[in-house]
Amino acid sequence: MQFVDDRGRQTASRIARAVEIEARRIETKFSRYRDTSVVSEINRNAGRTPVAVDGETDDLVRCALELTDLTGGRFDPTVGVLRRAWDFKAGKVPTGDEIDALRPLVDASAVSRRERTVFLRRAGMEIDLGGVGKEYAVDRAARLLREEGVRSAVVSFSGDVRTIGSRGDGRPWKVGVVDPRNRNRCRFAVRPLSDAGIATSGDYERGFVKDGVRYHHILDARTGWPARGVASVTVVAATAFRAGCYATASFLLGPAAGLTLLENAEDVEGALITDEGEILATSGMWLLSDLPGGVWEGCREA
Amino acid sequence: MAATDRAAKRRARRRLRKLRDLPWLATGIGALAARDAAGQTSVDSKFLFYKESGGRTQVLNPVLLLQQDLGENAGELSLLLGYDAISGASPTGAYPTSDVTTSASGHTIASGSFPQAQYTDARKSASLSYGRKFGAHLPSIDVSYAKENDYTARAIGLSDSWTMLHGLGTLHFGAAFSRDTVSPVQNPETNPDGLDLNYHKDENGFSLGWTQVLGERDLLDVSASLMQLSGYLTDPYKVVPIGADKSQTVPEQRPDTRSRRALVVKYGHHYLWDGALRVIYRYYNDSWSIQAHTLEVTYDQRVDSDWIISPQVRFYTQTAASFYASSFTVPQTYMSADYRLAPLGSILAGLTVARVIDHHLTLSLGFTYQSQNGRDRVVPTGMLSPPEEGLIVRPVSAADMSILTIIGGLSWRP
Repeated sequence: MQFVDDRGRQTASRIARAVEIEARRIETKFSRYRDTSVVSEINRNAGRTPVAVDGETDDLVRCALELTDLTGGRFDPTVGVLRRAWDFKAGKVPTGDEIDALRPLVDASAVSRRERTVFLRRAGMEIDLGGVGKEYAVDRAARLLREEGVRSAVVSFSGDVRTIGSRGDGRPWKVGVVDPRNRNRCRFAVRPLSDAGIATSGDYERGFVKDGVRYHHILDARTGWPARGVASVTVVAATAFRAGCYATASFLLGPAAGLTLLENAEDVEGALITDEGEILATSGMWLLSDLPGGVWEGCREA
Repeated sequence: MAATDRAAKRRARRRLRKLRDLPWLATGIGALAARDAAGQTSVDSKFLFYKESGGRTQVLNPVLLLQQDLGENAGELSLLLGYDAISGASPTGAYPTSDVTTSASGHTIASGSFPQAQYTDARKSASLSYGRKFGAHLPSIDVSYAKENDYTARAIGLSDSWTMLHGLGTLHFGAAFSRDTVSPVQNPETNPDGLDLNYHKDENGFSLGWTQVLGERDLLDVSASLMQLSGYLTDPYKVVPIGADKSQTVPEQRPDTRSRRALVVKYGHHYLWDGALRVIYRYYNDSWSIQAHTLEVTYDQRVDSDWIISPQVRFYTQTAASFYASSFTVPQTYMSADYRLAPLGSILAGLTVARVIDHHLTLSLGFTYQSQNGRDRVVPTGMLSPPEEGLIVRPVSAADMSILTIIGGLSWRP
């Protein structure tokens, strides 16, 4: 997180600390790895009883379900059970039967949202809000900074970014997009003009290569296998949350359908990097990035 | 992907060796006295918690040492078992940048600091030794085996202690041979086809030293060691920034031989008020042009016959390897940007408290805090070029970090 503030070191430290506390709160609340999280509680009660949730959780579940509709079921917050068949650390590829055995548990329509409760109707189902939780955390952090009167900032958690205003001297923030095949380099940079959220979905966070085929961890919920065609997609929208939803959606839709989704969506721009390394960008990106043909082309050091 | 930190493993290995020096540590002097423990078992267990600052390497390391006296001049057998749970992040060698980046995960931590790669690993090790007294000699043989996700190490060692001058002097010498296998799979950058690769590394080490009792309360030990390494000495997960803008990276490459030499002088003095001073100075140099000096001073004070309080301080400094640089304008045959080969210095301060319970059991708890600083400091690229008016840009070094260790120990003597 970087922000420009002229009220002195003490204020800056206090604000940074408040943002950190908020980020941790969200992580603890929605993490599927912690027994005490809301997500774990919902999962424990799958097939048994609805769990009462607060407004924040309810919103996130609703957004996850909307994203499921948007991607035609390719994104599904209940896809996590397939973890049991895959082992990304050991490099184990599951058999078709193993995937089929778990498929009945991957079903967003079996997630019941009613009167501030969430119920997973089948025992053994698991919901995972990690796919939408990270971006939500960045937005909350940015909101905190705004409330504290910060006019110029950039917040980045785990690769999801939210900008506020522009740099101290008026130039837009520059956010590099990491090359999916070489984490030490950036392919291009995004230059948001005003408050914006930037999120990236990619196949390179976790995965392995076996017999020449790359297996990554973003599974197409309809098939149970890794989505193919796109190495990473970066989306710019008004909030990191919106950007994140569209990034995941277009990643799962593949290069052609994914790009179309971004073009047609309002106030959303983005660029996909295909498996072959080609960059496909929406028409609005010429204003917002240093891609060839854009206003910032050639301004690497600016 | 397991990008393991070799230095953590070396430290683990040094800790294992230190455990064998336990008599020296516990009493401060008189490591030469034969133990009267026929047919009995001694147990030493230690638990180490090691943590580097900035989300870097963290190690949890329980160790167990079992020593069985076989009685009647049949020698002593010891078994050392260790487990390391290693996790955290390690700088990749890429140049620091203050640019913000967006990526699919928090894998690269940028923004004014050094890009790092996350990893977790578990290391299991076992070492078996047998030693027996033959007149004035105390020869011993040890074999050890260690296994990690991508690393296997096998070693055999032989040593002897030859007591002379009516017990006032001891000649000690030894040789150790080890063969390690590195199998860096799953690294898309250097191994995109996911082939099973096996690299080997051989280490042959020799040491020779002399321990001299200087008086009723003084002990001096001088030893020299030589270690020859050959084979795969490169870190398969580290990269080197090249080019004028330093954004291009290529995998690092180190020579395939390394000759390491060290000279160690140890001095111990026992004070009449039940205190002991231990001073260790070590001079090191190798064929990679690294030179290092270590000075460690520990003072043990026995209090109320049950407690031993040991404050400690250590100073360390090293120069850079000849092929180290934070970035290279043009690629060279041997290149590394690994901060562990960079010029750096560190200061460590620590305190250990031990309690002896009924002559058999000793409990100890120790803390150390170390501050390490790199002398090769660079300014991060990116955002701040050209630098804004009045902005102070502080140069950074990947070697900068602080390290905390907590060690709990339990020993049982018959």
